[in-house]
Parts: sequence; C-alpha cells; structure tokens
Amino acid sequence: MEDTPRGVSRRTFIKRVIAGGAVAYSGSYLFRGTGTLLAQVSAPDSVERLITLRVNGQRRPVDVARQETLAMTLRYKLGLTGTKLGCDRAECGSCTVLIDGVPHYSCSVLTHTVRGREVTSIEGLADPSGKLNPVQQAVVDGAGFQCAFCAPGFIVTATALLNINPNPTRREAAEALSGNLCRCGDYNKILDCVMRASEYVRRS
Amino acid sequence: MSFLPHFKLSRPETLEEAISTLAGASGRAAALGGGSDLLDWMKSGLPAPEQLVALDRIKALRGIREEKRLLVIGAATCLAEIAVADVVIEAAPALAQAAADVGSPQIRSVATLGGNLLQRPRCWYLRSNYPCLKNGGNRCYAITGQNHYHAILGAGPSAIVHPSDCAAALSALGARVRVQGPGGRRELAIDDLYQLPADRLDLEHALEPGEILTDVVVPRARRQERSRFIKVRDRALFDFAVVSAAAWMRLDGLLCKEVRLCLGAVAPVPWRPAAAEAYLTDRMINEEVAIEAARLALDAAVPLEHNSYKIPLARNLVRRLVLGLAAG
Ligand SMILES: Cc1cc2nc3c(=O)[nH]c(=O)nc-3n(C[C@H](O)[C@H](O)[C@H](O)COP(=O)(O)OP(=O)(O)OC[C@H]3O[C@@H](n4cnc5c(N)ncnc54)[C@H](O)[C@@H]3O)c2cc1C
Ligand code: SF4
Ligand code: FES
Ligand code: FES
Repeated sequence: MEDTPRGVSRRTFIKRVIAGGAVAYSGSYLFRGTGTLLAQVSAPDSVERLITLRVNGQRRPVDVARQETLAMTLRYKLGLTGTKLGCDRAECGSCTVLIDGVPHYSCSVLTHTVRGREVTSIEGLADPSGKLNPVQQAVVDGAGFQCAFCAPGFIVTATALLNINPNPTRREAAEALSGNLCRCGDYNKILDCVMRASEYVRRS
Repeated sequence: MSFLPHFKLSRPETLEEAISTLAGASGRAAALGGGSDLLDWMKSGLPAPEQLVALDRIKALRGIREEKRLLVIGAATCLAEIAVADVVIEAAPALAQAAADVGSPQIRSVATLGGNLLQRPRCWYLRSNYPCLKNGGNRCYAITGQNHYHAILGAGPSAIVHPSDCAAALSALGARVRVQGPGGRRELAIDDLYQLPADRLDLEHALEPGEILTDVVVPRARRQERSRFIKVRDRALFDFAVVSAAAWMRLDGLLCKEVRLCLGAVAPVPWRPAAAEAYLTDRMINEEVAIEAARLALDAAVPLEHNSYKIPLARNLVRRLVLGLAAG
C-alpha cells in the first residue's frame, strides 16, 4: 500500500490527519494554513504517494509529493508546527530535526528520502508522560531565549549533542550549535542553558 | 517559504541504474547528493533539472578505503565522516581540515564530497536569479556592482569564485577524481575537473551529462610530506570562505623539495599559483622566502571595486602555510 500514487484531495488528507491522531488545533491549523501548499502539490503533474514515516516514535502514514521537504510534511501535513521555517535554505537551523539521532535541516531534506528512518522533532523530545528532557528543562529553569523562534532548532541540536557528549565544554557546545542562528542574538544565554542541561544529565 | 519545482525522483540502488537514468534524460536530470546545494538552487527558480537521481542508496559510492599508496573516498561520503576519519586526518590532513570547516554540523551531515566539489557558485546576483551571463543573460552584474566576495584572479567574463573548501585542499593534495558515465570510466586530475568562465560559461566543471563522480583519490602522505588548510570567513564558524588556502609540501628538514599551493574563493576555479610553487621548490624555507612566495602567489591579482582586501588576506595565508608546514 505504501507506494500507491494518488492525486491529493484536501478532504482525504484532512481525514487522514485526523485519523492519524493529530490534535484538534493542528487539524484546524492545517485546514486554514495550507491553501497555497495544497494548490502547489496538487498541480496537474504532481503526484503524491502514500508513504509511512516514523516520526517521534509513531508510524505516520502521509501523502507526500516528490518535491516536498521534510519541514513541509511535518508542519503542514502532520501538524507538527514546533519545527520552524526561518530561511528555508539550510542557513539558519530553525527547522532542525533529528534523523536517526543526527541533526538535519528539515527544510533541505526531501521527505521521500527519509523513509525507513527515525525522525524526531521538538514534539518528540519530552517523554510520553510529558516530562521534559534535560535541555527543555534547563531552558525553562534558565529562562533561555528571547522571542524563542529559534528555540526548537537549538533544543533539538543541543539534545543530540548531549546524547553523544554529555559533558561538553562551552566551546564544544558552541561548535555543535554553530549551525543554529538566533536572530535575537541570545547566544550566551542559550549556551548557559546547554551547560545547565549537561549538569542535569550528569546528575541524573 | 519557497517551493521546489516539480521533478521526478528516483533512488536507484546501483551505479549502473543511476547512470542509465541520468543518461536517458539527455541532460535534463541531475544527481542528488545531500541536496544542500541543489535544492537551494532549485528553490531560487534557477534552471532546474526535471529529474533527480538520488545517490543515497548506492553503497558503492560511500566509504573511505585505502588502496596501496592511495586513499579512495566514495563521492557520496558525507563531510562529517571525512572530517573525523583517522585515516584522512593522518594521510591527508588538509582534506580533513577543509571538510571540518565546511558550513555547519547540519550541512556536513548531509553534504557529500562529490556534491561539495560540484556545487554551483554562490554569486548573490546569480542566486537571486538576475539574468546575468551565467544565467543566460548578457552582462555580469558583479563586475560593476557589489563584488566583495568575487574573484581577484582568473575572472572574465564572469567573476564568480569557486565556493568549495574541499576542492582547494584536494588540489593542493594532488588528488584525482574518478568518473563513470554511459561511455565508461575515466579519471582526471582535480584541477582538470574545473574550467574557467572564459572557456565555459554555463558550468564550472567538466562532467558530461550522465556522468557521475564516483571516487576522489588522494595520495597518502609519506614521511616528510605535510599538508594543511586554512580559511578566513566573516563569521567564526558556519560561513563560506572569504579566502582559503591549502598547501602540500615534501620537505627535507627546512628544504622544500616539492610543493603544491591552492587558493580558494579567489578565482572561478581552485587557484594554483604556479610562480610561487616554482619559486619555493628546492629552497630553504624562512620568513623572507615565505613572504616572497606570498607576493608571487598574488602577483597577477586584479581586484574589483570592493574586494582588494582579499589580496593581503591571501598573501598572509600563503605565508602562514609555508612557514607552518616547514615548522612541522
Ligand atoms: C548555509 C551553507 C553554508 C555552506 N558553507 C560552505 C562552506 O563553508 N564551504 C564549502 O565548501 N561549502 C559550503 N556550503 C556548500 C555545501 O558544502 C554544499 O552545498 C555541499 O557540499 C553540496 O553537497 P551535497 O551532497 O548536498 O550536493 P547536492 O546539493 O546534492 O549537489 C550539488 C551538485 O552536485 C551534483 N552532484 C552531487 N553529487 C554528485 C556526483 N556524485 N556525481 C555527479 N554530480 C553530483 C548535483 O547534481 C548538484 O549539481 C554551504 C552550503 C550552505 C547551504
Ligand atoms: S559573477 Fe558570474 S554569476 Fe555573478 S553576476 Fe557576474 S556573470 Fe553572473
Ligand atoms: S529553515 Fe531550514 S535552515 Fe533555515
Ligand atoms: S530568541 Fe529570538 S531568534 Fe533566538
């Protein structure tokens, strides 16, 4: 069933999103927000295929066009709007998600190329009981970020760092986070939070 | 948000399949490495392929192996892997350093070595889809416009610089590339992979339609052979080079027996300053010699209105590299 080509239909796709368990607000977000996107992907020569992605530990069936980036699928098809689109050009990091544990710019990855791989977005970092991960907790405790548009990307990247290096120096953390830009220039505070998070990881 | 134009996408598992798909599309298809350059290019509305052939499933294109005196790196190996591979750090340090300095961690995780070498120029007029010479138009906007990051050597009629850090390192290392296409395999020196805009305006490299870059081949350093790459950028991290430089040297004590220098981001191709290389060969390295080599390396430079700063910058990098390699 995975590879059946399908013309997109707004109704079937909304139904599928709802059936897929997207929460109500994201369903309505999708409904309002994707007029242009749907027009785009349903242009006459565009073919969507139903594929199943692994996102945040769940299997998510979704109709995906070939020219669709992972950021578009996550935000506008799966309602996972925690992933932000800043530049859409692999230049800012706000769209960062983990693919098999490694930070990637989801704006610059074709969704079809992540089939079979595990995608983790900001929504997937807390454990199922709702307990925040150490980086998220450190951001709350340290009042990190100003406008926080860049926050999901930074938090996802920092989580990957602490998974492989729970005890980074500040410099190592800065290097690991160098692919994430903060328009508010809040880098010091963000690094404070990452260092605080590494303390949480060590203590736990 | 910018949309990608429509295209067909295939993800073959063998090189043969990829080549036949590319060749069958008679120039309207392109290989897709990590997509970090190609997708960006396509989002800008620049002339785009109608079909993408993703290389990510072709195992033969990935990995680093040793073949006698050579290091053979599959073209679809990502830069993150190359930057930390012990065998690269030991056998070709300049390449490991260049790979580590490309973009950001997220870029290096997807960017393939082949894609890095074949990436298109970053001229902001071109990327903003101005109808310039390289985009089918009849003038170069940079020559008389905002040309801070443009060429000081080898320019004309376009003043692009080649953006690849790895290309500069590989040129200094004397690397070769292996290519496979519908007509079979061939191997060429990395310097022959690139062509000046005066020779060919629409493309920077010499691959024929349907050809895939399969491997990059680097001679492994022997005793007394050293290499290094340095790069200057506007930000401390995560930026293209304003100027970069790489050097490879075979030394006998302080005597330079053989040398290759390459400057990046100063010319439309990785730039080998032949006069400086000839001057250094069979000479004892000291401060004065390094300064003279640096002078010779930039002797032919012709700056545009806003980029004369690149000349002293490049000279200093050459001086530092020459002295640094001699010091060990
Ligand atoms: C924000 C940003 C910062 C960057 N900073 C730097 C930097 O500091 N230094 C630097 O060197 N680069 C930099 N880059 C460029 C980046 O390194 C390249 O985009 C990347 O290396 C391209 O590799 P890729 O695998 O993603 O190629 P793709 O984007 O997939 O492909 C690039 C081109 O190569 C062709 N191609 C790819 N592989 C093959 C192959 N095996 N055979 C034939 N054709 C092939 C494609 O058809 C396409 O034309 C930066 C890019 C971005 C977006
Ligand atoms: S430098 Fe080349 S790419 Fe840039 S405007 Fe001039 S012709 Fe176009
Ligand atoms: S939105 Fe993907 S890097 Fe900026
Ligand atoms: S806090 Fe505003 S962009 Fe980072």
